Amino acid sequence: MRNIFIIILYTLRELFARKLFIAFGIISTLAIGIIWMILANGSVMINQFGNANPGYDEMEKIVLGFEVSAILFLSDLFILIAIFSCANLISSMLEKGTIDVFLSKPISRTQLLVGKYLGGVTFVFINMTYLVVGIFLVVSFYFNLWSFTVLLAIPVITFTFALLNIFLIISGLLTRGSALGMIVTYFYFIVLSPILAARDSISNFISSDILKQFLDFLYYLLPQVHDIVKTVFKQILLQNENVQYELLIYSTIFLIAGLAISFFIFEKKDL
Amino acid sequence: MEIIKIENLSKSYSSLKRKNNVLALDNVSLSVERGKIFGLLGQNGAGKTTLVKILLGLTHPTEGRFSLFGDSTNNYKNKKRIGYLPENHRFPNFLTAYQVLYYLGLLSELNYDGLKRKIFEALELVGLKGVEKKKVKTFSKGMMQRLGIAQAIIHNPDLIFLDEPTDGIDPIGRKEIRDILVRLKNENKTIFLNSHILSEVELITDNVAILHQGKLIKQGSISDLTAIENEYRITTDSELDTFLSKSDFVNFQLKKLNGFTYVLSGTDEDGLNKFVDLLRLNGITIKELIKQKLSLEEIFISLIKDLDKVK
Repeated sequence: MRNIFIIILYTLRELFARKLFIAFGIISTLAIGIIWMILANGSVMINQFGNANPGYDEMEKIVLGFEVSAILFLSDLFILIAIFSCANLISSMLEKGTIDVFLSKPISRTQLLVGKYLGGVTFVFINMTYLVVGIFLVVSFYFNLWSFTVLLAIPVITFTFALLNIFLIISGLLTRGSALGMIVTYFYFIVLSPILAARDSISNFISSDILKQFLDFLYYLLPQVHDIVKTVFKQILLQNENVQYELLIYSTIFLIAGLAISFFIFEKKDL
Repeated sequence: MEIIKIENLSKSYSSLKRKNNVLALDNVSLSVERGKIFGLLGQNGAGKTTLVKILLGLTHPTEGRFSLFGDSTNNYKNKKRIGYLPENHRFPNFLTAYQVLYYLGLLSELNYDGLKRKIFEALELVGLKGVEKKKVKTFSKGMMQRLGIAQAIIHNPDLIFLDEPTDGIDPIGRKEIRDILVRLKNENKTIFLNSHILSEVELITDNVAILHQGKLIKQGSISDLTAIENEYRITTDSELDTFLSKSDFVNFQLKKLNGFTYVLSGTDEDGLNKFVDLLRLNGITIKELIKQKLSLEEIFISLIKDLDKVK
């Protein structure tokens, strides 16, 4: 555990040196500031819902909806930047002369990889915590309504990035570079995952059963990042009775399998 | 006691671009004793770095086996007893010298308590005292090399692998590094030195092995390898020309080098003693008498040339 912790610290130090914490901090602070300015016209916003004097429950839903919308919009942006930020963590580690020094120390390859992986995930966790808590505090103070469930966005979005980070790790190990990892991860996050999430609608336009089954196969094989953020998170917040927890389980299986494959590749690699 | 034991180690690399595998190491066997400085010599691409990387678990052997400290399991925990300076090592540009040693010291299982003291000791030992707060991106090649040595020895390892440790270092710095290595040896540390600077290797190593195209072509102690059988250099206070034609020495060859210095060859130790007696009988004073030897560089070049001729 100690070795993993040291590598996490080292990775955060690396990201800090690249001014990425500052960049995320500035974006988050700007976002929180803009939300505060929007809330300065809060009565106008609430009137948009057709009721100038809503009840407490209704008010809570409105506030929660506002918070979730803001967080989901910003989380997409944050994940895109986080993919860019963490894409070269593995390739920089694998550089000749760097990896030799690390692995000449009493640290296993698995510990080194876990440390690097968790370093990236911790980076997103810290930044998401700042953003979500910031939005939560601004909105809650303004309305004097404290819906703590919105803080669930921190682990949910961090988990989403943890899933995407698997693509970065495996690509980095295979190519020793960051370009392929970024392309694959962006493609999956922006294009493929939304398509797979909408496969039921798409199926109406597809006549081939094989293609429909293939889409289903991909949907369950790959992490359901789009649905986790856009559907499951909302279902939990809105206290929906039919929360699709199974998507979290499928994605967790993907994450474990992805890490196992990464360890195998790294263990077999000649450095 | 053998700290390193290598038996029939081979490594081949396959490549999509090439039809045949590249044989980086071919059936290499050798051993290194505790408390010795061992030099592994060879041209670029001879397989020196591959061998070290296999011993450190960075590369997997195709065949053969090895043990470190008597343990053949390649357990990463053994590495707390190992220090390694890779060739062309890189440290993150964003760290200071102190921070590099801090992270690598922690990974070497040093405790937080006392780590600061060890960092300063290591920096002082390699001549980097006073630059601990400087970012490594401002370091010269020589300073990077010294920092590399510092990280290799900070945890007081028993076995130290150094790949071209004096690369990029000026002559005075080289001497300082040689002194450090000798000091470590005197502390019963074992040093495995990869180098192509043969004159330096000759100065400090006890044993050497020569690799050529992945094959081990020679190994032994420096004195054995460089000695020339039955050949001596003798310096006297007067001419020995009268002895050149002496019938008693028809089996010998006495060749004048310069002044009163001659090379006596073709004799064993008994013959040498007889010759010395004869000189004394004739009132000739011997100023110097040494066994002739080649330099390591001469041995190395001759071996490589011979192998190339055979091919």
